[in-house]
Parts: sequence; structure tokens; C-alpha cells
Amino acid sequence: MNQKIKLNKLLIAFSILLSTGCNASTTEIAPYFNKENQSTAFFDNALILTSASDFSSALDKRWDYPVELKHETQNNSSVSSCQQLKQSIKNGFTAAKNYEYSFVKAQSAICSTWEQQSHFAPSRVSYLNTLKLDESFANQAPTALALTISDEQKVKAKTASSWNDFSKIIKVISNSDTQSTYYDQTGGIQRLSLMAKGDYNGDGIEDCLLFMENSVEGGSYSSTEVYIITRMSVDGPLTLINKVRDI
Amino acid sequence: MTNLRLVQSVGVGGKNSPNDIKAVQTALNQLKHLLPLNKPLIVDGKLGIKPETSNTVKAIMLFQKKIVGIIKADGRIDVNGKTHKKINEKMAAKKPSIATPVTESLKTKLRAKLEQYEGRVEHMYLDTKGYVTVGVGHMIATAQDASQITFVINESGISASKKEIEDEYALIKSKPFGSAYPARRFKSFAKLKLTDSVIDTLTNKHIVSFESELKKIYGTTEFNKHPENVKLALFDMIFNLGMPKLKNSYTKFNKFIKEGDYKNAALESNRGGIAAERNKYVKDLLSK
Repeated sequence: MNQKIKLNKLLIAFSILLSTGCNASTTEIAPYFNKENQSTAFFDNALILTSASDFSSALDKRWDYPVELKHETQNNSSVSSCQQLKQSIKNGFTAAKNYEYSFVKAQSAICSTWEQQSHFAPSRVSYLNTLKLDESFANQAPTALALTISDEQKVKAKTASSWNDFSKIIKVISNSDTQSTYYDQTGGIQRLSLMAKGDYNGDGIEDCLLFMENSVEGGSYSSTEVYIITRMSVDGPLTLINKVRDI
Repeated sequence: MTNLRLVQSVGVGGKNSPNDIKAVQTALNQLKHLLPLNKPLIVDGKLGIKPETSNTVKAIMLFQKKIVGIIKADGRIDVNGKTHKKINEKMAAKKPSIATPVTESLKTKLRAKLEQYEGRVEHMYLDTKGYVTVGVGHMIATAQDASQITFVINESGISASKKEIEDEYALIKSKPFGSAYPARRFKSFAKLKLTDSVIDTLTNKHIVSFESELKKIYGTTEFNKHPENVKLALFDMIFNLGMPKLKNSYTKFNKFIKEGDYKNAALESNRGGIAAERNKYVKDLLSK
């Protein structure tokens, strides 16, 4: 009898262990890729990119609109893919026309988001389920997302506690579920897009890829940034993992 | 007075000849914008029985602490000493100038530079914020505004009708836009264009509008007094940054411009995110 009770207890314990183990090993959150992937910057028809490997392939796809680049010591070059653009920038090429400098940088940033997305893996856990690009997001987001153009602004930003703490956002317009435009009190206009969610750095925790287009009221200024942020616990802060530099 | 000439020292323990004292009082009055002087110094060549309590010596010490950077200011200006040299440096920066409005020659130079950095586009396109734009960054707020501009049909050169202009405005407005969409992306959708003379007219209006905004920041008379190269630098800054950003995010730059300290203004003129060449262009203009 005692042996039977022991055996039953053992069986119950084993079942619990097994069920817990099973849940842990089968819980996977597939990466999310926004269908608004900025491909119309290069192609007349938007590309459908739904997996990491799609993004990897897209890096070699030939654009409908080549871009002219110049170099200090070499002849001008025409590029028509992300890989070509990446290589050319690495070799010191820049926009052939001065007035297209910011556009080439933006295109490079888009290519960079595709390259990042080609590495996004499934996550085991996510603390970004309630992520919404609204005013409260700006209160939580790192200061790195703020538009700092002048040197004095860059210095001031170092002591700010969040994006909104520095920028003092006065208006947020939601363009879609995954894109909002933020207006700050000094004339900055920032259009933020959620491009993807997934495990970027292999720690099993879901991260998200953000694409920021900066402009100003009444001026031609334009710049782009790519951020990867995450949250490491339920009540944890939004943390910057990477501010992606030029590819 | 364009610089301070001293024969002997002035201030606490100085030789204090009346002419030298007057020269210092005049010079400090010219630089009072750098100091929080309640009122100008009386130019009387006197420091009183106790020079250290005189307004002139107090002003010297203020200048030494605030501008020269001497923590333990001694209230004395020695001939060709640190304080003397700094006064002359600041006086040289604050050149007396004649107020000159924006000349046609300057506008021509400005238009050339704007075209280089902003582009010159004969057809409608969407800027990075999604506004319909044409020419050299000329934003068209509504279809009705567009219809007031003389567009011609690409193929024939004939003036476009109001409806043709408004239809094209609507078509361009419907297209995707963003930081990665240059103006040439919209060319294939455009059947209308502007002539060179219309573009030049719009650009001149734009220049006048920005000149007005620059005067709001720097003062009308004061703006006109800046040398031509400084005006060119300021126009580039405001075309690129817009009035709110230039006014609110470049406070140090603006302060130095108002003080006539173009050297330090150049150091504060950097714009993150733009081509190094454009930053250098403005720096060089301010460093001339």
C-alpha cells in the first residue's frame, strides 16, 4: 500500500514536471513583421516580406529606382540594391547630389531595418504585448529617440529621463496601429514606425525594431534613425538595445 | 572706438591716468551686452578715492570673471595683459557695421546655394512630411493655392488649367512619402511643370519670408548689420531648420550671433544628421 501511494505521488510529481517542461519548450512567439516595410521607397509595388529569410532575399533585389552616388576619388556609381548601397557606403560613396544626402541616408536606414529583420528569431517571452505608439510610449521610451540636432541639445539630452522628458511632445497623431507622428515643442516632427517584433539578440525575450523619420516645422531638415528596444520584465523600463548605425 | 589703446594700467593698483580710464570706460560700455551692467559707465576718467569700489573697477572684475575666465579677478587691466587682449578681441568681433538690406547679389548667391542643398524641382512632389512642394522647397498648402501658380503642360508648354493643376495636386498628394522618397520619384506622375522664371519668383518670395523670420530672431536693424557671409549662413540655417528649431534649439548660436561673436557661433552651428560638407559651408561663412 505504501509503495502504491509512493508510486502515485511519483507519477503526479512527474506529470507536473512534464507539463511544465512541455509548456516551456513549446511556448514560442513568432516574429512579427509589419507589412508596411518601406519597400515602396525602392519599388513601384510593395514587396511582401513575411519571414526573416524574405528580408534576407530582399537585400539583393534590384530596385526600380537606382541611386546615383559620388566618391572623392572615384567615378560616380549607380546602385540598385541594398547590398550594393551598403558596399558603396562602406567604400566611401555618398549621394551624388548634395540635396539627396538625406534620402540616401534614409534608404540606407531602410536597408538596415531589413538586414536586422533577417535575423529576427522567435521569442520565448514578451513584455511588449501592450506596446502602443502613443503619448505614454514617449514617456517610457529612452532619450535616444529624441530629435537632437544641435550640440547643445545633445548635451542637454544626456540628463533627460525619457524621450518625452527631453522633447516635451505637444501632439501625437496616430497614423495607423503601427505608426504615429510626434510633434515636440521646439518644432520637431518625428514619424515613428514599428517595423518588427522578435528576438533580436538571442536572449529569448521579444524585442522591437523602430524606424524614426525626423523632420522640422518650416524647414527642410530630414534624418532617419533605427532603434531596437525591449523590456526585460513585466514592469521593466523600455530599454535601448541598439541604435543602428549606417550599414 | 574699434579697439582699446592704453598707455598705462587701469584699475586696482594701476597707474590710472584719466585718458586711460576714459578709454576703458568707453570700451566696456561698447561691450556691455556681454556683461549684466545695469547702466552704462559714466565716461569721466575717474575711479574715485577707492578704485575697488568704483563702478568701473566692478565692471572690469565682472569682465575678468565672466569673459576672461579669471576666477580671482584683480580688477586691473595691464597694457597688453590678458584682460586688455580679451577686450580687444571682443571689440574686434563686434564690428561696427552699416545696416544693409538683403541685396540682389546676395539673393543670387543664396539661390545658388539653396539649389545645391535643397534641390530645384520643376514638378510637384511630396516632401518628407507629406506636403506638396515645388521649386526650391516651396510648399503648396492646398490645391487652390497650387492653382494660383502658373504651371505649364510638359509636352506642349501651354499653361495648365485650374482643374489640371488641382487634379495633379490631388494625384501627387495621394502618393506614399517619407524620408526615403526623393523628388524625382514623383516625376513620372507629373504632367505639369514650372518655368525657370516662376521658380525664381517663388524662391525670391521664400527668401523674403525667411528674411522676415530671421529678423524676428535677431532683430531687424541688427540682422541688416551682419556681414553678407553671416547673412548667407543664417539663411542656410533657417531654410534647413525652420524658425522654431533655429530659435529654440540653437540658443548659444543665437546668442553669439547677436553678440557679433561669429567665431563662437561657428562652433555652435553644427547640425547633426546633415552632410558634413553643408556644416562646413556654414562654419566657413561664419569664420571669415
